[in-house]
Amino acid sequence: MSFGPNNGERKNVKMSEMIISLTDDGGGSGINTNTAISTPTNAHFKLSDMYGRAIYNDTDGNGSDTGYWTYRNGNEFVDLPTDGNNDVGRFKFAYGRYRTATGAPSNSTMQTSGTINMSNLTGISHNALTTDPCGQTRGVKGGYTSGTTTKPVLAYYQSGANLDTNTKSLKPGIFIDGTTAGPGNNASGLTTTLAQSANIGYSAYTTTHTNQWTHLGLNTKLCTGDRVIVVAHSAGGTMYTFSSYGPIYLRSGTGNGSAVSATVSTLQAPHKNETGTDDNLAVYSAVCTADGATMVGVNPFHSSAQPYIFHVFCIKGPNTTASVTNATTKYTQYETSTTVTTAPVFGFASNQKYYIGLSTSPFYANVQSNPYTFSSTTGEISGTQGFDTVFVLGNGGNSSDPGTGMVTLSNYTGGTQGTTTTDKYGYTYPVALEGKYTPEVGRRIPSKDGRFVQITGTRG
Amino acid sequence: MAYRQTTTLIPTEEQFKELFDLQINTFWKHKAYTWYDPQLTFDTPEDFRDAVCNWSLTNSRLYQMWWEDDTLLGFRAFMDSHLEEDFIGGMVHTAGDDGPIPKILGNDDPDWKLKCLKTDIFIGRPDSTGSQQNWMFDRPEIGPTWNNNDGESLWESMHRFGYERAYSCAHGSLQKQHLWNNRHKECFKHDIFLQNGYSFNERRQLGFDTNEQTSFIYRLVGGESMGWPRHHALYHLNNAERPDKVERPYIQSIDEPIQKGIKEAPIPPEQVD
Repeated sequence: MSFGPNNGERKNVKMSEMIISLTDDGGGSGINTNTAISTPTNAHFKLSDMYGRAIYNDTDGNGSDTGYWTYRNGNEFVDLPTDGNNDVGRFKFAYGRYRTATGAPSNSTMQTSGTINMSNLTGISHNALTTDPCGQTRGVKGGYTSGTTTKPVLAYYQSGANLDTNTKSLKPGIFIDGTTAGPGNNASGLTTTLAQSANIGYSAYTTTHTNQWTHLGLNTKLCTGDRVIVVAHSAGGTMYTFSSYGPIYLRSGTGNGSAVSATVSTLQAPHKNETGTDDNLAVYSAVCTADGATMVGVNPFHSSAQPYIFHVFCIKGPNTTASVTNATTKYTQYETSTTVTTAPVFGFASNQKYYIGLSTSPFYANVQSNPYTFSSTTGEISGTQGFDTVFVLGNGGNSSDPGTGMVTLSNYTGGTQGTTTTDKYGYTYPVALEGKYTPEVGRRIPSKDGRFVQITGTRG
Repeated sequence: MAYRQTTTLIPTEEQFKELFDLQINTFWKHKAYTWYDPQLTFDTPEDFRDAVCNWSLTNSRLYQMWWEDDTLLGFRAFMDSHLEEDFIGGMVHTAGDDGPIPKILGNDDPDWKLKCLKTDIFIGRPDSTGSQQNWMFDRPEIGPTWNNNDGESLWESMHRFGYERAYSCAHGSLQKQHLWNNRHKECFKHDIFLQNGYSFNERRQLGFDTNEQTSFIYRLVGGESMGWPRHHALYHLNNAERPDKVERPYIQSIDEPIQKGIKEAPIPPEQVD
């Protein structure tokens, strides 16, 4: 097993792969060339580089706070206030995600001093979503399974950081092995965009039944503090509000599994929009209060059987926040280009911010326009884009497989800048701005009517 | 003349400023909105108005807007309880974890602010009768529990965003007197006043004093239909008499399965190996 974000086991942890994951000099030759330097050098790397670094957070608005940031997940840390670069390191928010072969992960706090303990540094990545499947897979695992499908997820990642000559990007969540860091070909057969999503805690499922619970695989095993977000999007009729049970629940194992306790909340109550073709949408959240969840129970509780699409996101803890900033507007035009907008700024944060932009449509005979190529093995997202990851769902263009969509994700590493403003009382005080680059979300509505759901939060 | 309220709309900047200008003395001279004296911190009333307008339109979660036909009579803004407002990152006139609101909720829920809104600015103007009191005091359509069966009730709007309740604070003496002396009128009669006032940021519990400018008095907006307990020791003894229960609006997503007798299927039992 390798050192890297996709496997948190403490087996065969290799210093060489640690260097690959951190440095340009030791970890390959540049942007997505899929060519590694066979003998990593140790230039610019020392064990203290593995200390957790506080992300830049200018809470007093004077622009001179201490902290670190990177440009679009680049390897090169910039530290403030000296503004030096050529540093490498890890953010404190990342946490190690150690696990045994079959157990749930546990969050290992990043050391900030002392003798570095490499066993606490497995399973790390900048991705707010889980990146270690922990032996799990996508798929409908239990409950009512008839008429349910698992959508294929095509994944695309941003190329290099484009800060200066050091362009190697950490590419959140991507396989690192002894020869290659990045989303390209490697010995494990990561040869398609489909394979590039294999480790990621985002899944999408469709159903056509009503009022039966279905257990959807999380594509990972969660630990206490992790958060599951479920976006339930249906066609017409009326999506019902749950009264006897929570709207979602967590289970471990497969089949009916065992209950895993969680704090369940509604981020967006069922909302019907009758513009264009009627649809309904709700957003639910479950924060784990115990380890081991591998499935989320969902129920298309509805006035009649309608096509549903469930989008399932697994956000890494141990502390997370999540809020829905846009979910009620209906879009009725097929979009074959991506509308990119600046993600909303929501205050100072000492941990990582994430910005999810979800374009979704539950209807049959639906097509999702893909901005990229199906079989690309290199990152196709522009180096100047404010999101670093895009998931495109396989199309639902036949009668038995409804629903499709696209996700943009910014695993933001730019920190939080501050400025001062005059408040309503006439006093000047600091307010948060976007960090050192602009976080963005992208909207690309499928061929049938859809919605654009923005979910923002922090993790770590 | 038809009176109504909306909760899915937000005022335009022009509407906001027009109403604000009509009440400029209230805000600028009598300091009805700000804890600080705006004349000490802004050069002109217009600067002050523009700052408040920008603040409100940026931070408000929803607006309860009152209309006479298509004429906007006024609005009040609702914001998140956890919104930081002042220069020290505090929450001016905002319920804190040691304040009265979590004591009333009594469930030790650390996330209570995620389900509780607070009111911010309120602005109104006279209706076609020439009186603002006419619609505020005598028209039931402007109350927080009114349901016009058009999906625009305050309850539905809160539900839409996942909120269960809201509270309101006031510190200006004229404003407090206005609220308290008219607590039986249509616009306030469903609200619940609290027994005590509190100092800035709830640092001290004070008496219920409507004749001074510093202590905040609290009221819970909307009564039981907004999720408050029917009785509580912290409620003011002389609240206006309120109905025991105000029916919430019909919401198809909630009420249709109740009417049809449909419940969620039981969740599958755990697997026993």
